[in-house]
Amino acid sequence: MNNQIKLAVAAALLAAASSANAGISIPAGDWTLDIGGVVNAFYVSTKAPGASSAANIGTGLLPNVLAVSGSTRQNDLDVAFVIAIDPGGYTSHALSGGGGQENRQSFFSFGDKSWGTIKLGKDLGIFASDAILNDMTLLGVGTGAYGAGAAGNATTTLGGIGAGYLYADWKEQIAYTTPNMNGFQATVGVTQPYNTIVASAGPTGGATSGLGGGSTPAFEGKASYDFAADAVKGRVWVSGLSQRLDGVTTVPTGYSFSTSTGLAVATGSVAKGSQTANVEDIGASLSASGFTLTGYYYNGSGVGTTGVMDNGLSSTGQKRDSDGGYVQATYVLPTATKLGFAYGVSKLEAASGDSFTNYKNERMTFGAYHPLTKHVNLVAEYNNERVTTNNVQATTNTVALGGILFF
Amino acid sequence: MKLIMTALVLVLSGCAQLMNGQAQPVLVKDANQHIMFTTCNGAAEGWDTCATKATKTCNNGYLVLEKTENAQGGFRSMTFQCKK
Repeated sequence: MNNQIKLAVAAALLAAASSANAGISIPAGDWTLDIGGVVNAFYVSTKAPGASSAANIGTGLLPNVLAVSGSTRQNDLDVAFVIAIDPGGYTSHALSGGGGQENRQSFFSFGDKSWGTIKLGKDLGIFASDAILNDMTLLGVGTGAYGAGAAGNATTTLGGIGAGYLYADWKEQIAYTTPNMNGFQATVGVTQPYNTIVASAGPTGGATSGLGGGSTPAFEGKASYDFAADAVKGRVWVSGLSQRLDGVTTVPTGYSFSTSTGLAVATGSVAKGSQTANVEDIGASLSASGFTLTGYYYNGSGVGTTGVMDNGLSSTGQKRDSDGGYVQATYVLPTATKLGFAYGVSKLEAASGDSFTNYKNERMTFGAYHPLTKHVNLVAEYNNERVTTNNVQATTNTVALGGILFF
Repeated sequence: MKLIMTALVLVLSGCAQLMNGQAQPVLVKDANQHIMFTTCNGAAEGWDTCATKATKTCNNGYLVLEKTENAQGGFRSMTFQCKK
């Protein structure tokens, strides 16, 4: 009897230890199911340009997450799936449904350690994924905090997105990942092509596109190398994205009124065409004796800023160049509290037809992250964001206090 | 006065709790093969703390067998084997 109990305990421990997310594991026939997720909330005080201070309580860069995943071995293949729902916490008025809702992950994968893994479905994009995964504000707040009475049911803030890197986003994809070869691993895939839009987080004006990538998907890839010497551990990575933008519609230069119908008719450079957007990045993270230093840089054309393809084209349909990056330093105190500092910048250069000359978004973040328990982190952040358009600067300061639970 | 003392006790006990952060544990996955498993999820831990825990666990160094990472919440796990 005692032996049976010991075996049962050992099996339960092994099942828990085998769980990638270390959530709640449930053996179910051939499958091992795992329920995991995140719950977070922050008190955020924001002082935006020309506005009085705003106090809000909401979710941070991550929404809340409830993810169900499963894994099994069938026909000599590792088979797995993930489905997640992601409710946000911020609301600004009554009867608003309790916050926004995202659906970030729904994919399945199959493969083997000998030849790699194929993934089909929606997951974090491939390009710039390491940039956000290494951002210390991923489980904090960062930039883009809610303003006073900000409208809608926002699910998240922006962290370092748009002030140091582009958002990898959650994309439908078909991707192949190699086995881990002594620390080297690569992923290539085709992903859902995006349209370019004129987003509010960027300069005013610009062309839009409405036909995605036309007959081609977006192409993304990344490669990384993990290393561990005696005292120094780290990772270096590169990634890239290329996508055709089809159905580009430029902004009309004016309007006239039809003499026959009396309706306004756009005049000037209204045209449809295509462009090809490209972007590459490189990053490295080194750790030694409790210190971790991370550096990242990206450079692209036609991909815009903040969201991939957002504000990527000028009003005449020309590609805008963009680049940026961030540096981040963290140190773990003997109390296990992690202190961090980060500086990031994203720039967008004007192209033919633009009414602005330059656009830049910078941020400085000071953060403290404390493991109250093994599954609860307390977070305190100060964030200074400076948006410069045509050499005119607007500064937003944010203080965030809160916590995040992951299971 | 009682109110001040009560508040002081609460603040000091809260600070004492904050001085004692809890790391995510290292679990034995296969004792015979010296295979271990740990996580470094969240904001306070990262790959650096996973590596530090492995270094402290293994006297003669270690070999990384598997690393997994999920972007939803910074979930990170590492399976490693202590060198004999």
